[in-house]
Amino acid sequence: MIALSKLLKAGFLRTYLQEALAMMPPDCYIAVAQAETPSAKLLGACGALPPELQSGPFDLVAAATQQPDCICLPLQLDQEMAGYLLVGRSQANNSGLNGLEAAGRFLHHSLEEIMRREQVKRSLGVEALEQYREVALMQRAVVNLNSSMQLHDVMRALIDECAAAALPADYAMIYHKDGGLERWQRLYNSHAAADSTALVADPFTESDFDGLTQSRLFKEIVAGSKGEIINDLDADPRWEGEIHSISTLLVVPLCGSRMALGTIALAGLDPTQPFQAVHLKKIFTLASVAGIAMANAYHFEQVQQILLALIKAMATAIDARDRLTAGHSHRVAQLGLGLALVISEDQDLCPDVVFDKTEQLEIFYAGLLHDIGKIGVREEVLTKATRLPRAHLELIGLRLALWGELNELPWQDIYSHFENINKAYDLNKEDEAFIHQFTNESLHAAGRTMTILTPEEGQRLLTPRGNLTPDEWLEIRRHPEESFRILQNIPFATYFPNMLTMILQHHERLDGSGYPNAIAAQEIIHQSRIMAIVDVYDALRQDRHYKKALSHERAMHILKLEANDNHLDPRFVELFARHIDRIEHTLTTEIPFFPGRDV
Amino acid sequence: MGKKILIVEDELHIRTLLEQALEDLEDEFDVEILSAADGEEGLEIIRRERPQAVFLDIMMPKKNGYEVCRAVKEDPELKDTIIVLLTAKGQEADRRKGLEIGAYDYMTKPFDPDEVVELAKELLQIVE
Repeated sequence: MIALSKLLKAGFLRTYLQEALAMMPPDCYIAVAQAETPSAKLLGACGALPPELQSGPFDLVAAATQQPDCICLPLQLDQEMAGYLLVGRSQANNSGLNGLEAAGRFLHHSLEEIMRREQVKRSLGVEALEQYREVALMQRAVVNLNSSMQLHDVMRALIDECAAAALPADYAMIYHKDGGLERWQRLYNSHAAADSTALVADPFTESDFDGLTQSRLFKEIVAGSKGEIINDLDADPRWEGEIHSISTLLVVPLCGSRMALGTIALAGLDPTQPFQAVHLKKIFTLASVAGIAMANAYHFEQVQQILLALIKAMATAIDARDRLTAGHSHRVAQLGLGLALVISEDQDLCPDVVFDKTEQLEIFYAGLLHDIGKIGVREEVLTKATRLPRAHLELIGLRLALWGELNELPWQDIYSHFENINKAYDLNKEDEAFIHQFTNESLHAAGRTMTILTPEEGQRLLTPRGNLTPDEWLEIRRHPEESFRILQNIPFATYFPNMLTMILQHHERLDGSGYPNAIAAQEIIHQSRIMAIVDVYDALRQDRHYKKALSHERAMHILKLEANDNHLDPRFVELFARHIDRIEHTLTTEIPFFPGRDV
Repeated sequence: MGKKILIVEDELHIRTLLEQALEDLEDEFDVEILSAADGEEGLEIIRRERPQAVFLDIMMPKKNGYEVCRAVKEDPELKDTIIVLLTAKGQEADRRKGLEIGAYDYMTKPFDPDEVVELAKELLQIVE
């Protein structure tokens, strides 16, 4: 019951009583007192109030009845006694009550009505203030809880909000429902008590918290999707003392739009500090905002996971076209990420180059996709191991055998030489002379004349390096542009503005000798230079159709020569060489947003 | 000595809510909550009642919050009065201007009742 003094403020009452008194006969008095047990307290008085009624504490009602000309009217609110209205005439004048009853009734009626309206105004005010609080809390929580798309950050923000909410709790825990496993994980707990005296040494162990999730109480609350306060844990039949030290518990599920994503639990140690309905409401508000933020973060992670899975599948598909390049894209991605991390941390050679977390992830993805354009290159070109196909060389062998028989010359050694040339990575002068000799060596049989090697066969065997013809080379060299063409309609650019540039430029060289656009050093972005180094390195370290895998030392030596020739960035090559152990063991957990990382 | 906090706000419902939010302080801190419905009445009460702190709305008829604030700050006898301006949300320029002419702080409407009470407690501690 609200005190009358709150409903009839002193300032108002003063004026009201004065004006009322002015309408009454002289020598009258009016007073209002607040009902208090066992006596009453005078709130305001006007006129010639008898001294017996002026000072307390005393029994005002009894005193009033002893006054000869005094009416004492109870002021009631909702049928409860709030106070008294006294209307009377001083003893000096003996004209009796005469007419005072009517005035008293009127004043009584109007005061009670004022009290009633004031009461309504107050309760509406209380309600409105409560709504204001709720709105303010929600506005703040929406901003704070939605500032990150990472589940971890959302949950940390929720704990912080709980800590700021001045709750009678010593611990706040958030359990996260772990994807498909249907398992509740405790992520972390923190002292939520704002009052430092409430802090005690942590009496819990890890298994205690697991015990909470295993309790029937916890499971039933979570299943019910409504929050609950349990202030007397020991008396609750669903609780079997899973955690001995705690006395009170407040549990609210965290729900996203369609699913339960977790649970927040607050635990208090002090049984004299119970949770109240207002606390539950507060946490419920926070939980509803957090649930949406968690659902967003959860969906964001899922999108990331799907994106990564798709990109990886594409990379695997590219690499699978040729058994010797299997895993190449994954290795380039990992090495590229590793080199980017090393460069970012380096303060010695490249203090000016730093990649942020998104750029690091971008390099990783670009590594996975850099060769996707090879999908457009014919498989026979990709896997070409010899200058001429085996069957074709055997045909030459037949001609050679015939030529040997006719001229009575040994031909087997000559054929072996052809076989060696056919699979050699590069040719020496002797090889070239040998081929020229046999493009001119004629064979006469069955009335026809032919050379052992046709001019075209000679040309193909004379390919100075590798085994590809100029046309085949063109086809291979198209792959960065093909990659660009294939990927350009995927909206990577929103998050990864440099990804396509990196892929397009990974075969460009600093001196302008690269492809497809033979651009100059200043146009080649840092990320592309990283991609170029790790791409070459991995190609050197693995078997190719035209060469065997090289040792690390040998590959490093070649990278340095390439740097000296102004093909590869010398600073990056130097850092790559210095930190190769770390780079080769780079874990994908070192990058942010990475799906499936440990939380 | 009893302290006084004045609310000057022309909108009845906001004034009522502010009064109600601050009412709990009355018993705890022996402070009286006064209110005025426009700038002129506000200035009158400031001169007469000498409140230690004033929550002052900016947009008001007769005299706006800036004028009241300036008048208080220019009066040697009143200049120590702590003034908190009430601004509508998002009107950053209002805030700057208010602080420049000597306001102690500002609050954004719609206000968080708990923040109002916290701020009022802070003010009462300052005048202590």
